Order: sequence, then C-alpha cells, then structure tokens
Amino acid sequence: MIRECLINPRVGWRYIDSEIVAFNCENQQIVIWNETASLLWEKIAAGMDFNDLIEFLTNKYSLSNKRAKRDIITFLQEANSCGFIDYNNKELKIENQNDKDGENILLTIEMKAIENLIPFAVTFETTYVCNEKCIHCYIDHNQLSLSLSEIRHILNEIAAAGCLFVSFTGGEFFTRNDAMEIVEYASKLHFVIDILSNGTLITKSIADKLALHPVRRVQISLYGATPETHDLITNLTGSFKNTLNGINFLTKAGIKVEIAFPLMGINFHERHLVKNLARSLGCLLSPSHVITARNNGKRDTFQLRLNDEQLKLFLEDKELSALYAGRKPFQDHQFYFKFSDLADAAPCYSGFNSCAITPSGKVLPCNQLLYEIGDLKKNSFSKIWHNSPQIQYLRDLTISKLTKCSKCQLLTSCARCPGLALLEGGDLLELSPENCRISAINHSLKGGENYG
Amino acid sequence: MAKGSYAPPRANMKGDTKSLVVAAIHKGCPSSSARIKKG
Repeated sequence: MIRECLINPRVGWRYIDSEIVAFNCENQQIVIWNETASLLWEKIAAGMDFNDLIEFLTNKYSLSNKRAKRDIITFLQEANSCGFIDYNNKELKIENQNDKDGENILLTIEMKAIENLIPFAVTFETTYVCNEKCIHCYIDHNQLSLSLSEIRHILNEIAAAGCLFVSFTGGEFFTRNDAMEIVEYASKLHFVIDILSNGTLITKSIADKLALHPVRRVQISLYGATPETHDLITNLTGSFKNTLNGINFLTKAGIKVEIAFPLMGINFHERHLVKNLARSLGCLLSPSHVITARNNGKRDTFQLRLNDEQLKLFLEDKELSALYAGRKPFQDHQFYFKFSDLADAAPCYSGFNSCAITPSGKVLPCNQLLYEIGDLKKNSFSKIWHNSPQIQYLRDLTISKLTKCSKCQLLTSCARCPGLALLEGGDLLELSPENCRISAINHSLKGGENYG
Repeated sequence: MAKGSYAPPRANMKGDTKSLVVAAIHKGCPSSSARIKKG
C-alpha cells in the first residue's frame, strides 16, 4: 500500500510557464511535467500523502476516486522509474534514455526562457578570492564579496524570477567558509546547482555533503596531466595532487565531475594526456582554446594563447575540438532558425535567458560581457531584469547593427563573442579580434582563402 | 486549469543529459561557463 511519496533530494525543479521542469542530478535525467503532473509535484513537495493527492485531484477535476487513484499511480510509477521520486520502493530504476532527447529538452526550455525573458541559468560569482594564482586568470582578486545573507536574498530573488540552473563560481567558491551553507540554501529553493572550482579545497566531507543536494556537476579546472605543468600555471605547489584528490572525493560521492581544460601554449603538449586522464578518472572533458584579456583590460594573457599553428592542430583534432563547449558559430545557433535572415537575430542571447552576478552584486548579461546592467545593492533583481535601460539596449541589438561583422564573409562560421569584442576591441559592436583569428584559421582549414 | 480540461499527469518530455557539459545548459550565454577562470 502506498503511504507516502518523497521527492529525491537530488532533484531541482522550477515552474517555467505552467509546467515544472525537474532535473535529477543523481542520474542527469531531465523531465518536463505536464500541468496536472506539475500540480501533483507541488503537492508532493509540500508533503501531501497519497490519499490526500487522490482527494485533491478528485476535487479539482471532478474525477471519480477510482480514476484519480489510477492516474496518480501511473504518474508516481513514471516519476519513480527515472528516480525523481521514491514511494515504497528503495530500488530506483534508471531508464536508459537517448542523449539527444536531453539536449532537445534543454533547447526547448532555453527557447521558452528566451521568449518569456526568464533568467533560467545564472552564473553566480560568489567571491574573487582564490588560493591559486593562475597565470591566465582574468579576475580582480581585490573585490569584496557579498555576505551570506545578501547571497540568500539574491537567491530568493532569482528563484522567484524563474532561475533553475545556478552556477556557483569565483575565484574559488570553497574559499568561502559558508560555501556549504550557500549550497544548502540553494537546495532548499530547488535550484539545480553547478559549481566551478579548482578542487583543491574539496575534502571527503564536503563531497559527501554535496551529494545530499541537487548538485548537477562540479566543474574542476585542470591545466595539465603532470604536476610540473599544472602547478606552473596555478603558481601553487601541490595543487595538481590536491585537485586530483578533490576529483576523486567527488566521483566517489556520486557527483558528476567535468574537467575544464584551458589550452595554452605551455600545456598544449599534454592535451592528449589530459584527455586520457579525464577518461581514467571517469570525468567529462571540456577543453577551451579561448584565453581572454584580464577584466582590468590588461592583455598580457595574450602571450599565453595557442599560436596559430597550435590553434590549427586543435581545430583539426576533431575528437578534442568537438568537446569544446563554449560559444558556437552563428550557423549552429538553433535560436536563429526562426529568423529568415541571420541579420535580424541578436548577436548573443545572454541577457535574454541568462545572466551573471558578481561578488559585489553587479548584474552582467554574462560574466564574459562586462557591461553592467544593474546593481543588486541598489535595485531588486526583478527591476534590473525587466527595466534596466542597459539590458533593453542589448535585447534590441541585432547582428545587422554590428559595424564590420555583419558584412564579413565569415560571419556564419564565426563564434563572435560580444564580451570579447568589448573587452579586447573596446566596442560592443566592433570586431572581436581573437574571434577573427579563430574564424580565419577555421576558414583556411576548410580550404578557404587566407583571411589572416 | 478549469474543471473539464483534465489531462492525466505525465511527462511531456523526458531525457538524459549525461554527456552534456556545463555550457550546454547556458546556450543563451554559452561562454559564461566556458570562460575558465580559476586562479
């Protein structure tokens, strides 16, 4: 006999429109419940037991008791079969799903969020303090951090605005003594949580605690396959060993780990070793060939970038470059499919369904687009998100307004980033020089004329 | 939802995201997660 239904504590969820999107961080399954299922889900989350669920459904829709009971059991079985709830059944069966389905669901949600201007994914920079001193890091470590109570208040606000996916990052998130309290609070608000970390401060105790919450991924930065290379980049002796320890604690606790691997001239020779290391650790690998200027405008990091020859080798390496998860060329942006002319699309959809919050409470469209749209110490998130003249300006931009890029022959194959254009070119509407370099090399690899 | 417009509770969509990396969640702002910042 079914007595109680429990939502898996590793499931985060949020209403988008009239339907609940739920994400199971334990098995990485995502589901969109229909309206009736969403209502039941809310009642289950509020602690309603099986008999009360029947009564609720019977009254709300004038159903017979028998019909309501049958439909609820079918729903509970469905939710149970993919691990979203547990009712009188300790064995959570995991369905084998097609990966493509998950990607399509995310795209559906993203489109819905864009159309309704819901900030469904927020990058939350909680501190700029870090125990590593990486040679390529772009942040200003001297900024003050928000307090725990300020962070809680902001989490309340972005949850109310419809945010489901929150990424806690830094600096190093775990330099905050209250990092676990932030995670616990986000968990209470049903966020799906990503954490970007260097892993060195993650202990077994922290990993085990994270596994009690809807933590979808922990992304760990790794800069090489040897301590010599990794520690040279982090400027912290022993960091390679401690990062691997952190990864092992997380994977053993059942947390999915993704290795972020920024490619630079000095670690390029270890790229295949890092790929093999990630595989042996059971982690996804996310390499990136984009090293940016520092946030204060200094460009000394440019010398760390892959040179043209290395960049060619990376782009030619289909297995490795396919893992790059950053900005895609315009032609790959499915968002644009509804536009008959690419020129009418926005140059970037940050600020439509996503944004970033800095440790001092500033709101940015993206942590790579340093174009302040508001200050949470002065205004509410809702007011900024809906009324900021700066965000309105961004949302009104179209590719046709890009001074030079709109006329470039390489536009469709370019992954132009407005953040890089602003930071490195000095103008939101102008060229992004590094994107120009990458596009030109990509073009030459496909047999096109040299745009260098 | 008014009485009479009842649809049995079920999933409209369901799928797996195991192989998707963090940035796949942030397609509206994909570089956000791809910008590697530790240090």
